[in-house]
Amino acid sequence: MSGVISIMTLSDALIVRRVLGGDTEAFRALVDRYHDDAVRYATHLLGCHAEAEDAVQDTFLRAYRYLASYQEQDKFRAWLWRILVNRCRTRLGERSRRPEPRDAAVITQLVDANASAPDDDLDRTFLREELAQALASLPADQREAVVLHFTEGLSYPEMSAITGTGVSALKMRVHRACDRLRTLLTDVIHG
Amino acid sequence: MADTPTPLLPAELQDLLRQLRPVDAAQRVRSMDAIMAAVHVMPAPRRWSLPPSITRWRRRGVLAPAGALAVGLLLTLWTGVTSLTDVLSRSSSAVLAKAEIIGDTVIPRLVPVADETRLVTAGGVRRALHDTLYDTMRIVRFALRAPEATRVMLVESASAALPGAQGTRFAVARDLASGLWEMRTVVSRHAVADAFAFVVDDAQRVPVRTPLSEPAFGPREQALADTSL
Repeated sequence: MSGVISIMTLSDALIVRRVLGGDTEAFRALVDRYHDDAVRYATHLLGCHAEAEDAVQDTFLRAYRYLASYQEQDKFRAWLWRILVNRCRTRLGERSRRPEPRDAAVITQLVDANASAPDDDLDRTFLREELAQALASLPADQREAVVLHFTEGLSYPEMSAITGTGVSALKMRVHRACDRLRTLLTDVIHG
Repeated sequence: MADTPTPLLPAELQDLLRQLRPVDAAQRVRSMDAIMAAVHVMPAPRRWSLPPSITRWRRRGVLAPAGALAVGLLLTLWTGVTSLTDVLSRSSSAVLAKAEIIGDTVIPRLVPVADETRLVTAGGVRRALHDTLYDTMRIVRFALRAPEATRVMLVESASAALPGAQGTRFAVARDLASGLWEMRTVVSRHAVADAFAFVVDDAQRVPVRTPLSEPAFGPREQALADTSL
């Protein structure tokens, strides 16, 4: 147990070095560190919690397989998120090629999972539900940008490094997404 | 005081976006266990999974800089030689002339008739028999491939010309579909190979190399003998 605790205090680069040195169990520390954020991001993007879980598991397995290509001068989180973004995009592409219920339908799982927070009042729960529905109605690229910016709190250069999209394009996507969200949620916010 | 950018979303919505954490604790443990179970059966990642003694090409699928330079040099030399050969042998701007016999036709032709062949009748001397012959001419298609030419003439020598048209120069038109300079004309069946030539832009003379001298119905003497009764 003390070994796990000491691993949890190490930096990402040192943990990666230990994994590459043969300590496979050290990888659990990285999973534990980024699992929640990854699931949250994937759920916002895919609109389906189960699919997000699959995407995150796929992401961590790919990260482990290609861990040797990780360069220590890079942030591990940004490197991991590049894989995650690609996995989510792949799943969105697969979904667009097969008949599926719309995101707005599956996003209710996300709403259900969050609506039961005990300290939420009814208005906030309602607003949370409306926000989830509005997010699901955004185009995938705009949803990706707004989630990375607001939910993950990333700067535009960080988002650009992860998504491979230019900063100005990302700003435009966030701007348009915010316009859309404000339009959709006007009644809820000011009501 | 520095200007702060106008927030794109109301603070309440930004707050909600940050707080949305759809992670169930039990599900989280199950998910992490599944990831680690899969990780344990996977081959361990290594920085150098292949020994450095293996060539870079086999290890990474790319050439080392020196190897890439050598391969590039060889390819340049090879393509340079082949393209030079191509230019020398059959350049796209090369001028090629061709003539082909399409068929034969007959054209009336005045033939001098010897006195002994004239027929004398009771009424006196009349016109000679067969003093007008129908000579066989050939319809020939001349074609020239000269993509950069702006003006093409077909020049014929006296041996090939129609009677009264010796040394004529014909302006050749360009066929827009094929890009060839083409014209059809009738020539004597006794025309020889070098009887025609194209003159490109009033400067370059391109002889027509296709032989035209094969007789259509036999040698000239035989034809005359047949008709000079």
